[in-house]
Amino acid sequence: MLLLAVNMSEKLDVLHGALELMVLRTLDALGPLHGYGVARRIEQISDGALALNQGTLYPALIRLEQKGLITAKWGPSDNNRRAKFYALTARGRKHLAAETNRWGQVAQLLARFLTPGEV
Amino acid sequence: VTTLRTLAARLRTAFLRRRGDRDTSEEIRGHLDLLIEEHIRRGVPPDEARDAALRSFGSLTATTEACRETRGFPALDALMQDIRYAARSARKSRGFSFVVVSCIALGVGANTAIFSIVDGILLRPLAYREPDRLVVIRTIIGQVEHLYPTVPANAPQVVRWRGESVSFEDIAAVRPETYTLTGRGEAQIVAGARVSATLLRTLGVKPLEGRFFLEDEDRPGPDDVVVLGYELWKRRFGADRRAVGATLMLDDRRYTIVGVLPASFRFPRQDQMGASLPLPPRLDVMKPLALTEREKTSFGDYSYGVIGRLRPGVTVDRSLADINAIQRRIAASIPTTSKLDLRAAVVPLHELVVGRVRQSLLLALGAVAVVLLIGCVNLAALALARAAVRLRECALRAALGATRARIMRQLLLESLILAGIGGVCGLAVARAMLDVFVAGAPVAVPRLDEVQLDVRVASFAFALTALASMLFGLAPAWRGGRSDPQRALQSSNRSATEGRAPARLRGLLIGVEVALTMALLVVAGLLVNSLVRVAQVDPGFDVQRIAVSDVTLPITRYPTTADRSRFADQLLTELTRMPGIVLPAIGSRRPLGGEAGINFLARADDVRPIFERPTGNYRTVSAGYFRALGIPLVAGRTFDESDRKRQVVVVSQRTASRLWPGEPAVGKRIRSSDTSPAVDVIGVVSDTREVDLQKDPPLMAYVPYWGRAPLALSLIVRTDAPLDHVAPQVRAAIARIDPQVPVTPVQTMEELVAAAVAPRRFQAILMAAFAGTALLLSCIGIYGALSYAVARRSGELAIRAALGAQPAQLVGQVVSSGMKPVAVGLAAGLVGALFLGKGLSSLLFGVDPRDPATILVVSVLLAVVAGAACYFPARKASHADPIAALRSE
Repeated sequence: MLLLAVNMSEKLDVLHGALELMVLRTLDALGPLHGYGVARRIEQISDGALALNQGTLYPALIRLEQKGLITAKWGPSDNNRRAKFYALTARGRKHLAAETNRWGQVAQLLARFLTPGEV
Repeated sequence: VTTLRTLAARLRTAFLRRRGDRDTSEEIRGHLDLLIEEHIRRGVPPDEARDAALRSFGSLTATTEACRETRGFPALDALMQDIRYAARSARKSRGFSFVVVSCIALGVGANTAIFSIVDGILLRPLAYREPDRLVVIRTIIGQVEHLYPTVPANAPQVVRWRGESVSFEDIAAVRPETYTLTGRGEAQIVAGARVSATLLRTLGVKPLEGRFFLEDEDRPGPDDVVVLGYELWKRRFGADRRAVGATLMLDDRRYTIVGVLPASFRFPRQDQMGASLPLPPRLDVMKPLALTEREKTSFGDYSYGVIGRLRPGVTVDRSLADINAIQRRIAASIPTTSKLDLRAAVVPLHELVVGRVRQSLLLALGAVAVVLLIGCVNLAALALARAAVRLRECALRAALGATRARIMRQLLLESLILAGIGGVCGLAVARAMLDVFVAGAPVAVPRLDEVQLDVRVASFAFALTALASMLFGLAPAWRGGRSDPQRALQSSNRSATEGRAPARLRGLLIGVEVALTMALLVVAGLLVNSLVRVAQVDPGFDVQRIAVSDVTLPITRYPTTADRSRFADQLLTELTRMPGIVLPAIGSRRPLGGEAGINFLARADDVRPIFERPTGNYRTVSAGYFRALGIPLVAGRTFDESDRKRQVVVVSQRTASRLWPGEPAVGKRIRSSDTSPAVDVIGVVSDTREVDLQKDPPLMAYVPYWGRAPLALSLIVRTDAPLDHVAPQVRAAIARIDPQVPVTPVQTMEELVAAAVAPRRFQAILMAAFAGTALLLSCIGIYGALSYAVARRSGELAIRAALGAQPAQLVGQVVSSGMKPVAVGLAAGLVGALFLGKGLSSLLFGVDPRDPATILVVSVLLAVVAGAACYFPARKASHADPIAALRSE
């Protein structure tokens, strides 16, 4: 299962599964957050390595909500405007733990696979 | 679980899409604001900050679109979009939609209603176990076969068939009787029958309560048991289970109730088990057959209906050969001067029950199918015309990127929506029609109480709707989908003249429509013509100011002819005294009551073998019978008191001329058999149709009631007062003489005549309604198609007008282009109707299936209607203003 792809501009383009996992991890670390906050945080962590069109975040948020992994609630934002705040559910937390574990294994496998001299 | 949850969430949002969209756009706006502020904080000038924010956000439209797709089902969304679009365009062209919906509603409604009836009566098996193995066995006596093709069985035959045949699992006999029920409440006549103990086993029916008769009870002695019909059980015992074991008084005899039949139990009615077997509409009481020794040897009493259940695998033909072998043995054992030609007929029960109405029902079914077909042809023509107009719209959509499949789907959806609405309306129409049909149908239609609008029929209706919608939906969808956008859009003008292919197709559709309508109109015309002729038939007796009622004397109270004639004398005296009653009379059978009292009616000096002598209907009447009914005396006199001491008879004209051609009948003598006494003919009355309005008068002989008064009398009262005045008087008079004598409701002779004609009237009205619908539909179709053609040709017509064509010429041209296919269709329909007419002759009365007058009238009607339908569009064309028409291009 190939989850990361390198696009033409040599920057990493993130596929669905990975992006959703990043969102879950962000919400797990920072607590309830609006879409902008999540996008900012992912950009910070990736440190410019990720060419994230912030818009692509929203379909991912909807998918996660439909799966019951996060909840969404309207609330006041920092600048006193209305914003939708996303929070991790218990299911989402469990899902994150399981997926983190799986990602670890995949990463290890790939690392071993791609290390010169192996295979 | 996740998938399900997602699905549920999607479904939820699919219906709250507007809210989802609003949410998303607000959220994105907030996001952008924050992003802009962020850029400004970083030192980007405010006017550039917005662009920068948009750059890092990505495409707004793509995001919104992606969100929407994630939320709902894109395919479903597109479908909903198409449905909304289709609904909008259906609303926009209201006239078209109305025609489509009403065509389908009428077609489907009528079809469903008629199908329900055909299904209930013809297709659904009888409510017995394995009904296809049930047959009715009837007797054929070769010597009277020309008069009575089959007759019921007699008891000796029943006994030997049961004992000697090998083809049947069970054979049961039924002898219809009526009983006077006394005890609780008013005396009442109940219809019943003596039946074999094997009857329920033969039919495969179980009693609702208690049990059926034991074999041992099927003999004189222990036969004082009865089984009740459900209706009587409910009426007389309030559906109380304790009725089983209780006693019932029938004809002053005590019976023990041993069982009750289920509510669903039906037994074939009169004529459903063959002619001359007076089975009532409902059996209230059953008694064991219990044949007496005398009955077992009584060869002349043909009064038993016989039902057999074939052994598995035995064919009707084999069982017939089996029975016929027995018949030959019976005939050989009878010592008669002339050899008796005794045979049998074995007829499947289903055939007998529905055989008489099958033709009428299939005719009705065919008629509605034709109506639906005409509707569909109409719709196809309309939709085709519209599709040509909509070609540009389709081309535009194709140019904007719609795929061919999408355009086809959308056009198909449009017709499906209309068809669906039409189908739902059709169900309502069917319900209403069924109610009208069942309420208006003559009582003689069998199994009518089993007819219902059921799920199968409803699905049949929807299948039809879908089919109809496909028929007219697919053609334009195909053409619309195929259109080449570039060419269609480039030719901004419709071409000045119409292509040849559409014109030919339109002509074909009109021709088919007219042909179908013509065939239907001819059939309906013949039936209506028959009805008119039946109504014009002179019955030979008066119809106005006559009241009729049946009186049945309980045999226990009136065992002898003397008792009965004393009752009749008293009744006549009593009634004569009452105001409003002009003349009371008594007959052994009510007028129009069918053949009865059939016996040999021959000259006393006829020496031919008995079966070669003529037969006639004997009626036992009072002296006033002829005057009360207005039957004129032709020769001699009618009865008077002086005849009480001697045997006299009055015959009809036909009898007189048949027995004594060219000679006066009065003073001659007749005899019914070699052993019966010769009777003096004292008078001749004119012929009447008192046996059957729709048949030629048979030979009639009238004997006075004091000679052999029957138990069942028909009271005929000539009156000058209204019915509701006479009825209570008649009841009161009878109650004064004997309150134990039951009376049927008093009816007028007009009602009897109407009832006799009811089946024919019903059928004629039904067919006329169908033909009228067909005519209306074709009229709409022709008008619509031609209007469209004129609209298409308006340019051409305008040019012609500009070049000097007179309006009359233009009208003539358009009308003739429309009437050509009409003429062809008319001729084709005529040929079809002539072909059809052959199979129709049994439904007609006094009309040839190729009756030229009917065909002429119908052709003229159709031509005039079609001509009108052509004329109006044509007139519009002639008014075309050349300049306006050319400019509008």
